[in-house]
Amino acid sequence: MLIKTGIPSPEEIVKVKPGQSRLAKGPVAMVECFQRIPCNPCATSCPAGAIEPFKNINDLPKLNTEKCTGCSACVSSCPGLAIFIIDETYSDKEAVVKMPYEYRPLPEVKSVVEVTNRAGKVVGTGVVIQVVNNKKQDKTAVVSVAVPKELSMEARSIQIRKESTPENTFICRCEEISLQEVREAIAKGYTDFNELKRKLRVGMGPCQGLTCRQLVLTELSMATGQLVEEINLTTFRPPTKPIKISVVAGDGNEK
Amino acid sequence: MKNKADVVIVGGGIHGQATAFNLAQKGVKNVVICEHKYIGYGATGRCAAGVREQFGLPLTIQLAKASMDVTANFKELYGYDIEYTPGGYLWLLYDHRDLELWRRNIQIQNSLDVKSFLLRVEEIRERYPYVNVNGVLAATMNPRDGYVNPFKVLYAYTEMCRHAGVEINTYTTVTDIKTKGGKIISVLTDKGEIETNTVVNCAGGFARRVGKMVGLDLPVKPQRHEMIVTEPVELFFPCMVITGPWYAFQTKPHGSILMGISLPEEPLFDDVDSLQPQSTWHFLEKVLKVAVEIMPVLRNVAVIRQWAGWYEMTPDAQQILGGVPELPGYYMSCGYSGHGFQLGHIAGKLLAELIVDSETSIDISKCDYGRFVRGELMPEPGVIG
Ligand SMILES: Cc1cc2nc3c(=O)[nH]c(=O)nc-3n(C[C@H](O)[C@H](O)[C@H](O)COP(=O)(O)OP(=O)(O)OC[C@H]3O[C@@H](n4cnc5c(N)ncnc54)[C@H](O)[C@@H]3O)c2cc1C
Ligand code: SF4
Ligand code: SF4
Repeated sequence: MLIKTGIPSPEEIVKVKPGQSRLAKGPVAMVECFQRIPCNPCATSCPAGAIEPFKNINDLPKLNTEKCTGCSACVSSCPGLAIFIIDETYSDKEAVVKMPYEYRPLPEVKSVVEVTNRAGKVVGTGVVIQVVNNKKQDKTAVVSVAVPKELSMEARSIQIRKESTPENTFICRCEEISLQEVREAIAKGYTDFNELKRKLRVGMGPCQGLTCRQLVLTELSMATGQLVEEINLTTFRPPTKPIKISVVAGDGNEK
Repeated sequence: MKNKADVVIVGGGIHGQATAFNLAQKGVKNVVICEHKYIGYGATGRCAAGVREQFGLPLTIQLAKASMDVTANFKELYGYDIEYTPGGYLWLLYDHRDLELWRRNIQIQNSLDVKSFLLRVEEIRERYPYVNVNGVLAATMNPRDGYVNPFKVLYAYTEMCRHAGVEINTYTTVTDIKTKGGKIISVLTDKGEIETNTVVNCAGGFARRVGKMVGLDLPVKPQRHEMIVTEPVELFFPCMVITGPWYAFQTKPHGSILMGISLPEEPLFDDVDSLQPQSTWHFLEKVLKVAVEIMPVLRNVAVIRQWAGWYEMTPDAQQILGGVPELPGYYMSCGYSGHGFQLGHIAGKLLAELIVDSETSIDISKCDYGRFVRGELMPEPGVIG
């Protein structure tokens, strides 16, 4: 379950998967948002009214797939990077997955990239066919990746294949912590996920560890020989997505 | 893990580590720390890490000042940058009784060479325009007060301890202490037994349990205290703004704002395990409601994380620091009642002096456990909450 592991379960995914008939009609959004948190930019950003207005700010988004045009406006609006556009009609053998992407550098169009699943594990390769990154998106680019059709429900992120070095590989994008720093800290004896978090701030940024957790765990597991499942996980600390103070407290007495 | 040690320290928080490091510096060879979870699991890894000299009791002020001398010079002394940010504690006073109390506190502070002073409302408005002065009578200020990065301090000690040969065992719980003929003979842990004659109880919110192991009923009770942190925003306030129960400050260079509030409705527990350190919606609402009152500009900032820890409360909100006549070799540095992080440097130094030299450079005899038995409490008026 998302709340326990940071990775949504197959049951959670099935609930939000657009129907086969809708998928056959062309691009459509898939909203993988499973935690009741005070957040609603997806609903307010959708020009087609496909994401129902929230009655309560804590509601989970409800997508009307028939209204959804697959325009992808919601993808970069979501602070949780939880929305993807799936186009299974791209070609006979390939589907296109449009995904939010906040790492830098951005991938180049036509480049071949490694495609990873929700847990950050490489599941295949894909080709970048479009990168959209305008001002309105506030640094969340939308990257379209053509992947083998059978990966349309798996492919949720990419890794750029390049001569990467530990210094230029960022494990935690919120706090800009490199693989090198993580490895050095582990070598100094910080072999506990919680210690690394406190020492380096990995997982303490706005994303709450959604992106870095798996990567750090893999590093720790390689260094200590422990299985990833055996490594003591850090506590998920609410709110998992940022909430504006006035949403909770009102505006105070001052005008 | 060693099976023999000169000193075994229970707890790897700031007090356990500062004590271990100071012992090693004084030439004690075999110091072993047993930490029940990871380094930073306890209150030390969950605290605000505010550091101040503005207290009310002469002894507390003296200890706080001595500790501040280490905080302010940590880099020169030990080579680690602990992000000490002296912006002062701006303590807002709303009540005539409090104003009188703090006038007196400031006199005592000044007599001990702490350079605190009182600010009039107009001065507050001028210097800290983002603070809402509605209902405020005056504020105290001590420019040397501020905050540090608690993880930087803790891990500096971890590295210095390891370097000095201290053995730190994480995920190692002390389960019992064996005595014979009025002397400690060993410590039992879930990883094995360690022979020793000297044990230091630095178990924070668990100190009561570690007292029971030798038949002492330490009145140290954990109470939940929570905090939140916001997204980083442009640096705009240099000081710790504090109303008594509520406080907020902005971390530098990061820019995020940390806030907390003491809630009297939080019960005192016998043990951290029954307290369940979990974040609550109740706290979030309370802390943010005060936030928008005191600093209305904060309303547009987003909260990104909330967490819970525990204060280790004693009946007079003061630490237990020292040994016990009943059991030579048993020492305590616990019960700091929510202001113990900043005292780590000095407490570690004094306790190491007591253990090695049997005398200390600052008289801490009044901080003993016996004061609760004798009924000689020394309530500290300057606590938060
Ligand atoms: C929200 C909050 C804000 C705070 N703000 C401030 C502040 O601004 N300034 C300030 O000075 N102080 C502050 N404090 C208080 C401060 O955090 C504590 O007083 C201080 O950290 C106590 O340090 P310690 O080493 O005694 O305890 P801890 O850090 O709690 O360490 C005790 C350790 O002992 C271990 N342990 C317990 N029992 C056993 C056992 N049987 N075997 C092995 N290990 C064991 C625990 O796992 C724990 O890690 C705050 C506290 C909280 C919760
Ligand atoms: S893809 Fe476009 S139409 Fe579909 S939900 Fe997102 S914003 Fe609305
Ligand atoms: S996290 Fe994303 S999908 Fe979920 S409610 Fe917020 S914007 Fe919508």
